[in-house]
Amino acid sequence: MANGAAPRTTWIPRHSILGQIVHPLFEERRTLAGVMSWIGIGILAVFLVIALFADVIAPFPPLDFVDEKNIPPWTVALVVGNETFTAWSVPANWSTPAAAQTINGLGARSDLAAEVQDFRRFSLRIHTDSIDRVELVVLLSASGTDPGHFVRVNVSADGGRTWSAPVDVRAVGTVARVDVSASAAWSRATLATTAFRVRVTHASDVGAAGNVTLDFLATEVAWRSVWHVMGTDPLGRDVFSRVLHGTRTSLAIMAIGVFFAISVGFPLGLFSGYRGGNLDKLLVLIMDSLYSFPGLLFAGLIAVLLGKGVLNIGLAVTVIYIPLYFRVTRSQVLSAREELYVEAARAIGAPPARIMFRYIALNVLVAIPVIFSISAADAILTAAGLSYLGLGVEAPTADWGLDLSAAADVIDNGIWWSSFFPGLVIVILTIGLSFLGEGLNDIINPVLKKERA
Amino acid sequence: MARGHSLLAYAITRLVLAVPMLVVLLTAVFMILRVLPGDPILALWGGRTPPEAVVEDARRELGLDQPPWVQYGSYMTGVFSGRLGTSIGELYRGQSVWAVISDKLPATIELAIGSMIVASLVGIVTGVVAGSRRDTWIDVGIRLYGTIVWVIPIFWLGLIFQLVFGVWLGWLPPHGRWTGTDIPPQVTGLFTVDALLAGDLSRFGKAVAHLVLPCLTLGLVLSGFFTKTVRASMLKTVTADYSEAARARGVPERRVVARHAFRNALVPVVTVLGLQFAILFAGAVLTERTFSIEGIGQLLLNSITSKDMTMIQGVVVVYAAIIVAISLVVDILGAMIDPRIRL
Repeated sequence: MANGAAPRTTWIPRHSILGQIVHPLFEERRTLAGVMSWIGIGILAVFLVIALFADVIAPFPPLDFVDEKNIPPWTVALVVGNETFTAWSVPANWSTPAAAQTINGLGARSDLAAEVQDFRRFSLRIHTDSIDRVELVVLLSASGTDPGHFVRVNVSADGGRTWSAPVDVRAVGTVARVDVSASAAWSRATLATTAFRVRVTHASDVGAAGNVTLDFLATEVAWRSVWHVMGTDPLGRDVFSRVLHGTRTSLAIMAIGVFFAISVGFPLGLFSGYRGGNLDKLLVLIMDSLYSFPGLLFAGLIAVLLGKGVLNIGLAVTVIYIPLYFRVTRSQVLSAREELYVEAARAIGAPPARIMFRYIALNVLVAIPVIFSISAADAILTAAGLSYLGLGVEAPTADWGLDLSAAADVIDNGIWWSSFFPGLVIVILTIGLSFLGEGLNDIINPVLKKERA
Repeated sequence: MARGHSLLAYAITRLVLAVPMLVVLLTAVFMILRVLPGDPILALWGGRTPPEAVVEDARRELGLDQPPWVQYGSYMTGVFSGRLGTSIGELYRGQSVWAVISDKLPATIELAIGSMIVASLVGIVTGVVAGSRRDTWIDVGIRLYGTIVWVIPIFWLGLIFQLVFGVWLGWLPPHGRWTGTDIPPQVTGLFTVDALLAGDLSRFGKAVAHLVLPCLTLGLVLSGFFTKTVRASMLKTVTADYSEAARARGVPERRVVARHAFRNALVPVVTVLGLQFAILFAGAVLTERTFSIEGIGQLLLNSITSKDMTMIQGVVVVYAAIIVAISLVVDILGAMIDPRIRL
């Protein structure tokens, strides 16, 4: 108090509810409690901005599969994708070309040289245009291929209009790799299922008649992924974008949960504490019983009851915090009820409703910001816990708890980033809120203030 | 004699007060379950439409055809006479709810006790250190630890421990209660105790190794609360008259902290301990999921997803009974330590 009220805050009356919080915040900004409060406010503000502008900040849409799965953070990974064809096209004069997908199976066979087969629809999963290498993987069956017979392969990047120079594949019984990287300007467009084709032509040194059997044909593409700050998750979504959008989900659930908890718990506590009597006892019993039960489990039961969705999960979370607000409000009311100003109000004949709302409620309200911060931090943890257990919001919503549970299965393979970062932001936000709660408690609570003096 | 008598009186009063608490919890669960969407009988048929007669029979068997208050009455009398019924879910259909629960309970008990040990050890040590060195950098550090560790998501910490100690370093098993089939002969169901009873130290070690990561995870998160409480009460006892008196007599500071301040600082910790168990059990559900431990938390989750009403009721009853019992014990313990509470 010694350094006096900062002049810039004098437009808020010192003894108004807001003033009782704002003035100490500025006056005690150099104490540990003040610093903690301001750090908390800062963190909360940053998260609010993120939630509001997630669409603008996020580099990718949160629900899209934008890249290869499980790409580590902070790197451009070399992804090698391998895909066999799912369709063949005219002139289909080879027999059973579908079977060429399987090794050791009945391959695609041609019994006359110069027969041609086009294979297409290689559904390659490529997300960037920086393609390092395109190779064909060809395996000719040793038993189904006569000596002197072989195949020529070439590729088309434009749906079969132009073809690259053919390359002979003479290896039989072993996998042959044909590098076609230089055959075309490869990109996502030219490797798309509609554009990319592989043509296999039966060739022979010894005469037209004779068999050639193709056991396996695949296209292998090595490409460079996009650089991701936090990597990609097990489905190939950008972790950073999902973390940003998850802020929205988390804050929304928190706001709904805490708002309803205050709007039920506060009036109930006010009424119960002021009235007293048997009703008060009953309410205290109910609230204490609910308070003693694991909140997460209660919220889980109710979440199942209400169904998924942000609003419903928010309401489920509410149930945990109603007893908290009830208890705090009630205990504040019990002490405020005995204050001199309440007695004075009663003496001048103020009706009970007026005493309750004008004199007690407004003074009890000061205690709410502290409880708000604490319960908000807890609500975020609970919401994340519910989603982690599969009782919260539904996939594919961007949600921290959901992302953590989806990533939990791959942690045994050392893939840490898709669970580490969502958890980290939970920790940062909840630390911010609990710093705010603890700091405010030290600043506002007059008992603690007296103790420190 | 007089002291013992009043303690007994307190314990009885407290016990009587615990009954309405149990009733409120059970009523809340009953109400929640009766409005739960999805017919449990239809859920059993998994999307197919069962014949009308079968549904009627099943309803009659479960008592679902009766009015709600009759159901409520039989539910309450059942619970208080110890009959929890049989499961109606997919996984345990027809099995006794109590048998399934008592099969899963030891895993949760082991986890809960282990985490409480970790939490109280870490919490008391940090709290005492911080409280006796007020406003030093150690104190600030420990206060930060207490605040931060409290808001770390349990499952996240668990995943990190799994990754670091289970996957990267390979020191400890990252999943489950046991790997392999050489489970110690079942007496209590607690693997650690069973192994000791069988006199098998290597299997005891194995059971403990599986417990370390889950208990560390849950224990560390819970320890923040102990840290804060112990620190706060140490601040009072270190400067209390009896501590000052000891200092004036020339008792060394270490001894003042250890003998005078520390002992008295534990009294409020015991009284707030009871509140910790609700949080402990909620945390145990998350820990069980993370470390794939088949405890009653997992059981409750599975019952919720399969709409196994009787199983949900059973698990909630067990939870409520444990919590009420623990808070009872803790309260009586507090009254034993601090006679003022009894007044």
